[in-house]
Amino acid sequence: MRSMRSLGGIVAAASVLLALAGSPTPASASGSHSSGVFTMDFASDFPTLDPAVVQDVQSNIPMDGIYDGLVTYATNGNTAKIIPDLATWTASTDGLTYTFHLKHGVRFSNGDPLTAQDVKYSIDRLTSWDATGTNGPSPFGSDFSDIVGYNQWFNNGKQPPASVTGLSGITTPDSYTVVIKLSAPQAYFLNEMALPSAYIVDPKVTAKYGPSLYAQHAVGTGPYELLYWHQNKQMVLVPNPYYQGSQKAQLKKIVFNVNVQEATQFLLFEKGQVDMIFQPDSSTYLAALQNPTVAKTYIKNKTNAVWYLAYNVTKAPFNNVKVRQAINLAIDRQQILKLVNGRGIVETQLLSPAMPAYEPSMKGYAYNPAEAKKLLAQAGYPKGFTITLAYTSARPFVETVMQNIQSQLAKVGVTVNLHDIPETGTYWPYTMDTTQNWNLCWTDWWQDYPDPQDFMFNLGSGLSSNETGGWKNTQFDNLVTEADNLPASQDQKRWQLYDQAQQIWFQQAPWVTLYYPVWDALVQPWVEPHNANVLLHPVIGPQIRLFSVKSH
Amino acid sequence: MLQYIVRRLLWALLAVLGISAITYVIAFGIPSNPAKMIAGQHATAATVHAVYMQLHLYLPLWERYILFLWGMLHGNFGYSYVYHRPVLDMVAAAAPATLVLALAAITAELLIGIPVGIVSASRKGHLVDSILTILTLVGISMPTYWVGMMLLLGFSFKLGWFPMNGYSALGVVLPALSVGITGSAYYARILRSTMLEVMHNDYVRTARAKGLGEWRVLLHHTVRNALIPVVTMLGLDFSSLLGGLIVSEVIFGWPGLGLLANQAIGSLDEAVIEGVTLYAAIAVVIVNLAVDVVYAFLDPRITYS
Repeated sequence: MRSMRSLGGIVAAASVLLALAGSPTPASASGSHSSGVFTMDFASDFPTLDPAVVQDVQSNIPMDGIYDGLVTYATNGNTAKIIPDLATWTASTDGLTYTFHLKHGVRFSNGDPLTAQDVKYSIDRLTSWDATGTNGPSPFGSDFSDIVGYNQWFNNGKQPPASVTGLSGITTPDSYTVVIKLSAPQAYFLNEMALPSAYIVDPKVTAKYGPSLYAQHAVGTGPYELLYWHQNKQMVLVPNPYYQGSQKAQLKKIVFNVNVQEATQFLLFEKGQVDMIFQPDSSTYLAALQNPTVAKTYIKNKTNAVWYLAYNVTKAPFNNVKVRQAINLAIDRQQILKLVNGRGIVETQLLSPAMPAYEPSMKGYAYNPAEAKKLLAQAGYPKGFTITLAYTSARPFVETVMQNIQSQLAKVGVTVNLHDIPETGTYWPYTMDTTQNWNLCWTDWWQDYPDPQDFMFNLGSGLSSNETGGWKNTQFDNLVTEADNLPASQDQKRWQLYDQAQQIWFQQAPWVTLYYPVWDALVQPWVEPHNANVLLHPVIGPQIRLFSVKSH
Repeated sequence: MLQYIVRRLLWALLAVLGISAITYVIAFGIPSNPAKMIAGQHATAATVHAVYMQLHLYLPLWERYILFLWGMLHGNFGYSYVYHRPVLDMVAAAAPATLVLALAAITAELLIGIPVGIVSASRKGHLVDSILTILTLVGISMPTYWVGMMLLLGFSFKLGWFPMNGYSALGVVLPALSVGITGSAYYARILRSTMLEVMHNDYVRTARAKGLGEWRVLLHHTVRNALIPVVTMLGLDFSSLLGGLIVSEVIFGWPGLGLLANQAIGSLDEAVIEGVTLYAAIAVVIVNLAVDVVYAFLDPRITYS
């Protein structure tokens, strides 16, 4: 009893001393992890493993191991190139009919053989009015709205009549052939078939468990299968015994621990108990730089994403193009890159560097505050003005960068009032409403697929429901619509049209361009292959199906 | 006594109903568009609209509340916007972990706090008492977050005595301690002051006059009577712990209600927020009823009619 008296104080003091007593232990392998086991931790649980429901990057990681799609992306060379996965294909010259020929002998991890009917089922399920079973349609179902029969099947989100049993545009003449008819040519159709949303599921398993429980019992044709998923604790994958493909599983086990806060992940990484930290946050990144052994494990790779401020062009002062251009000249983007630990590339245009049709010759805005002030005066604002900049502190780096922009713009006489909306559920709808009280808002966009349509249409076209700030330009829209509707065989013409549209866009300055984010990670030296396109594929992200771990 | 319990339970039901309504208004009434969030940033207007209709978001709040109550009676507490799982499942999966942590935390608080309180009271005025008083003050002032991180760094990372994260027998020790170190101070101080009151009573003098040893006087006569305020505090403490310890659970990745609530609040997962709050409210009500019943056994003078 006596020793218990100051137990509290002693315990706390002792650990303070330990904590302060020198740098953390070097990244020596603790020996608790044998070769053939890959461990990765996350700060929160996976939202889902269901292709019809998935819309986040974290879930894509195990799904890459569990599922296959009809097509996928090349790992070496041009990473935007579509290559066969479960099927080869032929396309008609008018771009309206795609015929997929499935590989023979493919089985799901429960032994069920893969048939063409499973493919039809998966896409029908994805595009149905009630794909998620709990909250309505799939986030990406509408991407497939050009498949013939979509409007009847989706039926505006209401249950279709009993006579409509699926997409009439998908037919299966035999067990290994799937024919998909489009109502209009879509050059990026194969990109959509490469989405995780289009992974192929086993109808017997989805029917058995229903939409809300299926994710915990997910079954696919990929090199790995789900051994178990203990919600909020751990997910483990093991090799799929029925896998016949070329990407044979090279790991005995893949372990995902969840609800591990980032600081702990870093300590575990130093001890060698975690093999990869995907997209480390700012403090983890800085801590990594301070430890020479860990600093060597940092890798990055380009991806397609944009980080920017959207102008609200429906009201003053940003209804004036000169003012929009002026503000762009007043921003020192190198300063901003420093704030994000240099983990980005200066943004020069709507398209990002890994996109086809990206124009390296477009240099963007130089940093010229004097010119900015001149333009503002010309536009009728010699003394500057006051505006509101909305953002959400829920996303990494945003708050710091917004504060920096506030101080940068003060130098040209523009007073920025910052308005933080921490809940993303409230924030996104707010940014979609130009009648709200904001003049500038932070936003970002990460690709669905590496086709220029993804950015040009979604972020620039007046016909898109994702365009922020209300900017519309008929000429731009016409060019983009024309390019969107050309078949894949005419991609050179498409890139020309998109580039013309980009010139208009740049002149009109609907954004304050900031930077292009990159994929990055800390990866232990014993994780192989040492190929950035495998560890951080620009479209797919970490391709765990190709990982191996040597002994350490 | 039985009548008393039944009456209390009926009032409890009313309280829980009231809490469910208030929480519903707060959780679901915040101006937001969950349809847009569920459908995702990349969704088309048609998809967002379909989600909106399927979730009945076009109905006025009070109608949605009635739908919610109706669902509750059928065991349906809604679905998580993020994880798409039934809220009841998620709360039921997280509650046992929090129960374990709450029990461990209470144990740590009592193991530290009660001896400190007793010794402090019995050595009142001496150096020991002053040191302990200062230590308890430090204990109350230290933020749980900081204590948790220090314990993690010292005992887990450096010494490797405990796992750094996750749900396991050894894994409960550090999060429990992080609450125990800071929370024990309350018990120590309360016990000390009530013991000091009790120690001046006649029956204690009588016990000493009878020739009983100091420890027997302390433990049999003094402490038992001084425990009533401690039991009150225990009830409040335990019932609030049952709702989840957000800070400790997040730091140590303990998969309980605190972690669930933290994520739900961050992503405005309204149905989960409602579910966790309801559960916490029910826990508070039940535990406090239990505490009142325990009083009757501790002090025979207390009766309920």
